[in-house]
Amino acid sequence: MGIFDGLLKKNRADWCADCKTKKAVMSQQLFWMPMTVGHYVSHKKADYYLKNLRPVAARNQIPAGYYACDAKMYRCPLCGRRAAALRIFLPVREQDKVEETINFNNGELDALPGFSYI
Amino acid sequence: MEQQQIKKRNVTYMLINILGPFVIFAVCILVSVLVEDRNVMSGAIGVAMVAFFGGILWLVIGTDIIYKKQAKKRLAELDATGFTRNHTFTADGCTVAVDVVQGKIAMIFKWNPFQYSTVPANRVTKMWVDDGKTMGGTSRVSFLFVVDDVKVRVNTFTSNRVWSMKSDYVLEAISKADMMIESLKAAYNAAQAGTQAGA
Repeated sequence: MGIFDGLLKKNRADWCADCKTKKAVMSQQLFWMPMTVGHYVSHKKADYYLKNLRPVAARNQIPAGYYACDAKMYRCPLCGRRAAALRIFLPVREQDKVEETINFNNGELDALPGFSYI
Repeated sequence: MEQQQIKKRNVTYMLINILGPFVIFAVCILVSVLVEDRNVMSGAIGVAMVAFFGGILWLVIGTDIIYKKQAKKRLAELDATGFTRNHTFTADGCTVAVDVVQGKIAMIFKWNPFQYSTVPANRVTKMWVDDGKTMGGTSRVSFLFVVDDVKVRVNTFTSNRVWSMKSDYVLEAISKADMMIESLKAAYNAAQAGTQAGA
């Protein structure tokens, strides 16, 4: 792995910068967000997600015009370090309009409902 | 609550806005032709030019300003009647508000901005999304519904160029249109349930 490659991966949730290894996906959950199209506001703090995300079983349970969040929990197989990546998007029929992906690397979202490090 | 027939256009208001400046223009031109006084003539031509270009500007910008200001006022009046606006969509030619619980729809039109129309949602006979898809993409996305045989089209996206169906603008517009149609359906169901319960 080159230095450039390492820098690129440094802030990725699925990469352990200390062990230089790929983290494994421990769980994945789809959430509904109480935010409608045209009113998206970026939130960088975990509190917002802990309060507002509601787990849903499938994409078709998200009402039209509402944002969704595809959350993935990662764990490094070597050091056990955990991270969560939230991919926030607007589901539009078969397409996704992705707004942003937010990473939390210090276990801020451990208490998220429907989400675990099994 | 006020419930009336859908009136998309107020003919008097339309005529004043469209023909008003051009009538002033024509009168000023006539004055400039008929009078012999050079000062009056040049003054009339000046006023005619202002009326002509002002009229065009008024049609492009002024009517929009009036529509937006009046729409805000009408929505405030609507709120005061107890109409709960679960979803409101303001487009360039029409504002639609939906009360999902009471099963009602309110509309304010650009060419009739001094009144709003509210109807029970079960008077809607058809509702759908038109994504305007052509070979290269789309330049207009809208949601439409037919109420009392009047077709209401509300644009959620318009452009003078064709955009890919996967572009962010188009996806967002389709999502808005889908959301409004879903809320119209919910209002329709609520109105139907209310009618059946009342029967």
